[in-house]
Amino acid sequence: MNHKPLLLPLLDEALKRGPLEPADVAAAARATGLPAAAAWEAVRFYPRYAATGERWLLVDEPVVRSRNFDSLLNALERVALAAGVESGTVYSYGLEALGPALVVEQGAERRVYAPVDEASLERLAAGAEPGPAAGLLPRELAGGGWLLEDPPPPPQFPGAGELIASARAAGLRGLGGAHFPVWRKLEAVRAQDAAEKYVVVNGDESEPGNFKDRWLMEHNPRLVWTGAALAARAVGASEIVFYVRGEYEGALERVEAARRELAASGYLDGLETSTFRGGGLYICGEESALLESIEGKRAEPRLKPPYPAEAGLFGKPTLVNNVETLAHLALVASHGADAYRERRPKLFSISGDVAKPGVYELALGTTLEEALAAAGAGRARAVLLGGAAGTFLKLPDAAGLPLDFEAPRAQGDSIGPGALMVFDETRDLWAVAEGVSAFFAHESCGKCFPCSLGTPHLHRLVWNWRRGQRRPELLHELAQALEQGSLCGLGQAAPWAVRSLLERFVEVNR
Amino acid sequence: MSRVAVVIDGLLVQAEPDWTVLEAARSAGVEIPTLCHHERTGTEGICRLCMVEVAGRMEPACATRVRPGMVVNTRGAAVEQLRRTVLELVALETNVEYDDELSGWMEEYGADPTRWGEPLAGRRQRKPLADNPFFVREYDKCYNCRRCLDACGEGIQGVWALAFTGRGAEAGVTTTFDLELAEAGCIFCGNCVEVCPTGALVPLEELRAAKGGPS
Repeated sequence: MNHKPLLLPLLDEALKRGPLEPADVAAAARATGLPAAAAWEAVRFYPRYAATGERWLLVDEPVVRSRNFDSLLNALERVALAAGVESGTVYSYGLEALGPALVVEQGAERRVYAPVDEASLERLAAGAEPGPAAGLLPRELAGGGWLLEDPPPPPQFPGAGELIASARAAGLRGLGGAHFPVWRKLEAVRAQDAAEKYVVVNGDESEPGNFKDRWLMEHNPRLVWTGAALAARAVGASEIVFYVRGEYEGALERVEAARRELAASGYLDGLETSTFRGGGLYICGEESALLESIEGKRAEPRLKPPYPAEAGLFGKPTLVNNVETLAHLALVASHGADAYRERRPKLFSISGDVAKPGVYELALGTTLEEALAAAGAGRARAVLLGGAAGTFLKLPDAAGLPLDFEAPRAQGDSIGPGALMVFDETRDLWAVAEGVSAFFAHESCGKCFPCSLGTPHLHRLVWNWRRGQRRPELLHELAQALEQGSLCGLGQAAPWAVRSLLERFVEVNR
Repeated sequence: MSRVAVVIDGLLVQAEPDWTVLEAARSAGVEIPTLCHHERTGTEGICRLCMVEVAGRMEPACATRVRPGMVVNTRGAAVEQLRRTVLELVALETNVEYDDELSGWMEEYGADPTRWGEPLAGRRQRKPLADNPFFVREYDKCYNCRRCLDACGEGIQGVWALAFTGRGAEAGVTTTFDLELAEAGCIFCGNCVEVCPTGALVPLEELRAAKGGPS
């Protein structure tokens, strides 16, 4: 390890002994070489260091917002008040496919249940288990496919030139949402003349509506580590940090277990590897904010340039790739670029009004209609494509849209990480938009002015709109300011869902 | 090093290669408003008021280096609307009555904060903190430009008595472990007070003088 101990793991250790005291924070700061002020900033930024006592939390995500969010929250508040327990909400746990979810928090420990209904809340109040535990996604949530089956034996490293050429020939792109060509990132980090380089696996899937990375980390983590190891050898990195979303505790265990197994087999020889528990906020998924949080700072996006390929973790050249991307890289190495191109596999997280919500491996270019049919959609009226940072598509208008990198983008949409949240004609899309705008206001890090000040106003404008008080001119101005002024993708994407609703669903806006 | 030719609002500017767009613009007498940027503290890229148009994209002038052949528009309609919205939200949420520069820009850009309704951030309710003999911290006037944090930390002094706390609209400046300034390691160098643009850090001497003598 070429760096000092990391702050968040030290704080987590201290947290096991009880609520954090300034002395714990000061000791952790000394061990990491950070100023105490920076450690204090981290403690005040990441939610788990503030958790005390018991709280009952309803998981707030777009699908439940379209259904019975208000009545569930009312019921939760009622039973919690009677029980003298604090209640509230917490944002998406990647459980949209299972149904409404509940988190019971006791200090730093959390138990997750899904699906839950009002009867579950009565059980909770009576001291019983409120519903099925949902610490892991059921394996059966995913159908068949290359990424969803047991992985092939880890392939031999073919050499940097060949691996990068294969990634290029395969047309592999970043699958965390931005779709940047993988070979170019690999090449950029490889070209850096530096003694130390890092590979960071971005497993901070926090975008509401997405759970395919969660499934991969829980049920196929070896494939992801394999891709990470290949990438590390290709770019000349000696250390891999696998950053797992803080709330995904089951995934953390599975990822760590897979690391140990693969290390024991010798496949990770010559590489330092570790599993890192993420900060537990949406912004941690932004690649430069993610690096800041590994360094023990507030997870705030950096100004770019420089990009992580030049100056990433601890200022060293760093390859940051999403979980699914690296799983694909391993498959490209195993099956070859030609076989990969023939399949063009992509994972989609499909939830909402479909008979079989879950993780689907579909060929890129599958039409929206075909994807919906695969999951058993009945009479879908709208699809929120990509996630909370996505756009509403209208059906049947968009039925023939190919779900690939290009066609949605040509009309101002994107498959993003691959979420399809499906809503039939009975659902209130403005309720979904209200939830999405609340999410962004809650997740804004507080760095740049347009996002930190604008997202709460976006939420209020949407809230008012849904209740008949409409200010289209302000909504448009704010959407512009967020999109053009915000420092990172969080603020830039915050108004997309609302704006697509205004543009495409004229009838519900009357 | 040879100079870099850029065009700013139609003016040809010969910029030093390490200049930012903001520096190049200032050298040509083109004013670009900014709330956070400060040369001594190194603060940049936060307020987004200095966004300018470069080839159809918005970039922060204070944090963007000049590139050969760059064509910059500092006053397009989109730029002006963005600045107006940011100024309105800042002035709605923050007590900016002592920030003359910001008030001037409000007028210039026709900013009217009342369009947005009641404030949401809770900043204006913050109470003054008087925990030392030199200055008062009135965080109802603070819009989180972070100059003070940078002045205290790696920008100038290397003391790190000040810290940033919270997230989103609730974020703000505190001290390490929320201690009183002296306890947090403050050496009262005065740099934070000097770089504060809003009047949130007020020297007691000035307050006393304003009240007409020692109190």
